Amino acid sequence: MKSIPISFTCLLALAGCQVVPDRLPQAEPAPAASCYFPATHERALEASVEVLTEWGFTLNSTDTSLGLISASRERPLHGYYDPYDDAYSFGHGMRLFGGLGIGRGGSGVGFGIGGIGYGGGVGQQPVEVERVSLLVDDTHIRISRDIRRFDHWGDLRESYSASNDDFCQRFQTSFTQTVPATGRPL
Amino acid sequence: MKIRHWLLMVLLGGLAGCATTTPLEPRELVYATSSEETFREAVELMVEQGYVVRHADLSLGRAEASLARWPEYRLQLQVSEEGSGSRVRVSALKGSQPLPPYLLDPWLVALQHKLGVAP
Repeated sequence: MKSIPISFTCLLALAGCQVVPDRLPQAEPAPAASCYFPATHERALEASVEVLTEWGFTLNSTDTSLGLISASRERPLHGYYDPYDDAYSFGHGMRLFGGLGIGRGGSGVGFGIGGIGYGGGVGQQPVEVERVSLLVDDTHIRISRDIRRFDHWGDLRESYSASNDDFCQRFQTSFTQTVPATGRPL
Repeated sequence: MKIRHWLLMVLLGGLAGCATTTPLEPRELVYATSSEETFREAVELMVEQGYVVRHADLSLGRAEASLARWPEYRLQLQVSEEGSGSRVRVSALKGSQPLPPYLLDPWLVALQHKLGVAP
């Protein structure tokens, strides 16, 4: 009878293996309308690079003939807690190692705690990585962005598209402020 | 005992099948537009759909983009000249597993619409 739970576990593992999406996924929700805005400036690419580097982004790759900028920035997360991980739902950033046990022997009572870790301490600092790609053509700028969070073990814990209105609006504002300083309009 | 052995064999076989990596198979389509125009529109389509382009090179005709949805989807694009038009090869990965090529058909059709060469 022992084999039944094992079989179930194996079947579940197999079911997980077989999942194929019914179509190629897209960002949901789709990038905000403000992530596509008119920019007819001849130095739009330079101004965009300037805004991104000012915000602490580092350029990962660029293609000036295509008008593409791919950049990213990283920030440490202090006391990172994964909201989707129910196993650690008792406190932000709290991790419990070992075990807690109360035992009653023939003549005494035993009590022990393995160890509690708070926040960091294991492996490396949890980080948030923000990636942005920016496509500049003759008339418009288009932005896409995502955010990924890695835990102490360097494992990906959260990832989502973040081509949101807030970021694109802020970019547009900084861009329009930077443009007159870096070049003349057409 | 015998049934248990059989069960174990079947499960192990199934798991082994699961672990083998299928080769990354691209989906192709030929467009009447020039390779430069096709490449530009293809990269724009990826950004439009929320993919973050990690690398793109117009002269090489290659681009790679990713979507931050668990376990991360990656799209690889290759555009080459084909007579007076262009040939687009596109493939996708879900984590480290290749996605079946037929899933990319709607994407290639969307590119046709974007280029204005839809039948």
